[in-house]
Amino acid sequence: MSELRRAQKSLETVRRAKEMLGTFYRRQERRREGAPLAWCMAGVSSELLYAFDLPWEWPENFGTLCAAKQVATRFCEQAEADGFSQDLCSYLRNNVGYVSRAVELGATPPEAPGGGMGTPTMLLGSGSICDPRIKWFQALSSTYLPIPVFHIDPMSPPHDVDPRDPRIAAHYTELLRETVQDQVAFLERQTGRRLDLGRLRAALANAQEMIALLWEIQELRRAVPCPMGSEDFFTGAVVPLLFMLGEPEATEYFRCLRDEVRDRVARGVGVIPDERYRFLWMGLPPWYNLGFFNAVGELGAVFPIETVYYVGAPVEIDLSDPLEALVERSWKRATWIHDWGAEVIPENCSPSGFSAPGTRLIRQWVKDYRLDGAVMHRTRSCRAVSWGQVHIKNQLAEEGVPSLIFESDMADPRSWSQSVIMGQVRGFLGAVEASKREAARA
Amino acid sequence: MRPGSDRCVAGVDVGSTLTKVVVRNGDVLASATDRTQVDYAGAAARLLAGTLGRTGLVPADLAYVVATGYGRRRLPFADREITEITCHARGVREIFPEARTVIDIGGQDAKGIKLAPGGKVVNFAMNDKCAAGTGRFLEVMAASLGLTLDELGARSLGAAAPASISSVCTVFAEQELTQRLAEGVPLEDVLAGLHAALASRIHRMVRGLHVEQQVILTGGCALNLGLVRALEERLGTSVLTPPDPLFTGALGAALLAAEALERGETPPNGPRLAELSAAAAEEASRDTIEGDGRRRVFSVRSKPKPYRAAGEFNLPASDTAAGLPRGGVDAGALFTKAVVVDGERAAFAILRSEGDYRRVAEDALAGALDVLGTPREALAAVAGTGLGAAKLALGRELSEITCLATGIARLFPDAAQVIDIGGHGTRVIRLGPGGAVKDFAVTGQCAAGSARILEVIAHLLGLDLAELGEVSLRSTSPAEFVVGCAVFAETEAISSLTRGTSREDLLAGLHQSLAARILAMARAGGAPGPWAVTGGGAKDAGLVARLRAAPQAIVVPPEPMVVAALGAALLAGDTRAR
Repeated sequence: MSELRRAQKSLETVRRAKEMLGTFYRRQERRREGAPLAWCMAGVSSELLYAFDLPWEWPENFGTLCAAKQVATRFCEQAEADGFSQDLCSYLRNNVGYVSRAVELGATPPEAPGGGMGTPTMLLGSGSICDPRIKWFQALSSTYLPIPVFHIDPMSPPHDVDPRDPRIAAHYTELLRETVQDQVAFLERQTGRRLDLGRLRAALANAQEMIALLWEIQELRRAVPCPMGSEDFFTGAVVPLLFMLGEPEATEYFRCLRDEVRDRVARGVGVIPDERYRFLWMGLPPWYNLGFFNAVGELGAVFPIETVYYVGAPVEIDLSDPLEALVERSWKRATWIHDWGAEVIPENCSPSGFSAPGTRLIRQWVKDYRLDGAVMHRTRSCRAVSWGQVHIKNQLAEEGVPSLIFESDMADPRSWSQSVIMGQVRGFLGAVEASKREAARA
Repeated sequence: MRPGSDRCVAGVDVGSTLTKVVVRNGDVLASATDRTQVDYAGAAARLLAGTLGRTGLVPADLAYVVATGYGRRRLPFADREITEITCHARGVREIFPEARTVIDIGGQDAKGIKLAPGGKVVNFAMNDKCAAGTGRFLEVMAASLGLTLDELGARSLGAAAPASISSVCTVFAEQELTQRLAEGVPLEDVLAGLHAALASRIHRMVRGLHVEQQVILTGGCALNLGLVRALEERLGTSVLTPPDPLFTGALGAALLAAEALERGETPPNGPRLAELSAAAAEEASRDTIEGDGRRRVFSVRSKPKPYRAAGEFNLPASDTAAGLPRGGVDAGALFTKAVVVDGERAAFAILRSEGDYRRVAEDALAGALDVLGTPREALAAVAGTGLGAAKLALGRELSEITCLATGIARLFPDAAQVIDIGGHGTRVIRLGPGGAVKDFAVTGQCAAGSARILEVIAHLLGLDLAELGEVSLRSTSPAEFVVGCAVFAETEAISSLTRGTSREDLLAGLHQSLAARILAMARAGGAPGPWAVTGGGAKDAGLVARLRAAPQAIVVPPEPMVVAALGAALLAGDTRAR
């Protein structure tokens, strides 16, 4: 497809990601016929999987890969033909369509990128982020792959309670504790192995270090010119962060990334040669067209920060009891989201979250990252990440910060219209230019 | 010969786009088709009566009539109505006894039918709320390219490397097609891409039926070799087509009529006779059937009328010193607009965007220059905007949003917002001082609610876009009209008209509903000052009247379609604008 292109990465470390993150990118080598293999959703603790030495694969990530390789439409249409509505999540449709086609062929579909996914022996779901995820693996198991499903449903407190109230905290942490215990029992049954607490502790320590490195990178991205844009964040940081948290090689990778970004800042090297606009990115990226960020970069714009996949500062946890540390980390993160408001991570909040805290963090980012505006991707098939954009746009407008909302999808390229979207981007740059002139006059 | 089968029977298939008639007397005696009209029952009766007359029969010779299709209900001359699924299956079984899968692609719907051995219908699937995957998809594309449907398929077969057309929405696919051509992709490759996209959507619909051979494609689109080829590739199996694919449903209806007679059903012929005799008398006064006995409506419908408009208007007096003449071209998906500004005079020309973008743009610019009597060399600068702008080689490529804002600010310096109502969507632009863009909002990736709906309804009613307003404003009681898919609006409108809604009330309802949708987008702005309406939608006085419900004054420029081109001309040579 002429108009859809892959991202041109700027950072050397990101270009070397496939080589450095072998556990992830050479996962085929870990597959053993009949041996346990888990398909997991983002939100499942990869530290726990590491502790069980359980090979994993991630259908959501496979969706982004299929999109990048321009085969997601094929799988989405297969799922739609099986009766899954086009209004459902395109990651879900991609995965269901892939499985449907594999079952139909009795083999890996030839168009599947990277040799396709391995045959799973269990499905580990997570209800955090959005609602289709609650039914997705159930549908796979009941329709195509009759294998066991274990689903966790981590809760966040609503906006109108105080998470520091000991009664509230006790209620939620007890729920989280039960979930983790049940998940461990399920994994012990499925793998026939006992949980290795020492290995879990090591993985959590690694994860802590990795999140601290990522935090440092995000802080370094404030620099002008910006040393790392969204194209490098999405192609280079999402996989280790979401799917390899706790793996030693992922921590090492983030260390290299931090070093390179730090070096760029010291030398004043930016992603693009002539940085004229700095924008916040909000929403999931168009995985089939990450070159979009380069195309916008050619117009002089860079994206130093994103709301999506933002995990914030590391929280302190006590690793002496690693299972309890998992609970503690989840709860502290839920409390952090509660404090900052739903605008930051809408996908993790109940809609009621919008009524209270405002957009303090994003307003802070406008100052810290010297943002000229925000670009918001309204993804047709992901309501969880898209809702609230108009609200934030209005809030930013009050501060004189312009925003663009454009509509498409994260993994289904049928919603993408290059001419229309780039036309909107050009129009937006005109508006930003006018707003800068007005600010200069004032 | 089986009893009853030698008696004269008819099948009438009233589709959303075409009405088809088959008259049988043991074998097919005659068939005919015509466009489905607002008075669909009367038109179907005249078509049947005319077909009978051509074969030397009179209404009294007909023993049984079966009606099918979208408009099958309430045909007073029909003895029975049977669903199109059953009729299609029966028609296909007559020609292909081994058929197991039928795919029928109609004008506004698409269906898949699974048959058991012996021809019994065991399952079926139909398209959903979106027009993607229907015959209208190809019709819209053919109209956009100025090709007939036959040419569309034939030329696609010459593709070397099919282009990718990813848009699901029929209206947006048209825009994508324009973009591909503007990028220089050969027409054959674009056409092959279009057919592959349609085949892919059809596959999506029928896959759940577990497609088995023989696969039969019926409906008007079966005449399109490009689609047959694309479908064969997508399904991985050969696809057969009957010799008269358009008539499969009507044939099935006629066969079911003969079978009813065989079973001994003998309906009273009074109402049938009365209706058809009256229709025959009316039909005799017309002479519109062509030599081969069929009205070839397909190729007639899709060929767009050539379009050319030119003229001039004055710009309000301005303090800025008038420089040398400058030109602007807005290369849109449907029309190319050029404006030349010379002091306070602005000349324009509008041409349909067909074929080579650069040539059309040059022609339009030449047209505008002609109005002023200015030579091309006198232009100090030319800038382009719109979808095809990148290919124009006209100096600078500007954002349409910026151009619209600049154009309106020159015409109405105190305007607070621009509401641009185009065929592919609506844009609301909030203006700052001097026409600076403060903010803008656009409709999403579905053409529901775009002004294309006005075009569709104007076409249905046989009116020009500019005539809609006069009719609409006569309404006293606007009908309920849900502004959904721009393509399906036609079916909605026919349905409403057949329930007795007047044209006036239908149009008023449409305008009211569309205006409410547009104002909901515009209201978010809130700055004082008039709102300027531009684009094709501004030429519809009925819509503009309903937009006057806005909290601010509504103003319409003298030539609302050329405002972006005017903006481009004003910005040409300005180094700050992008």
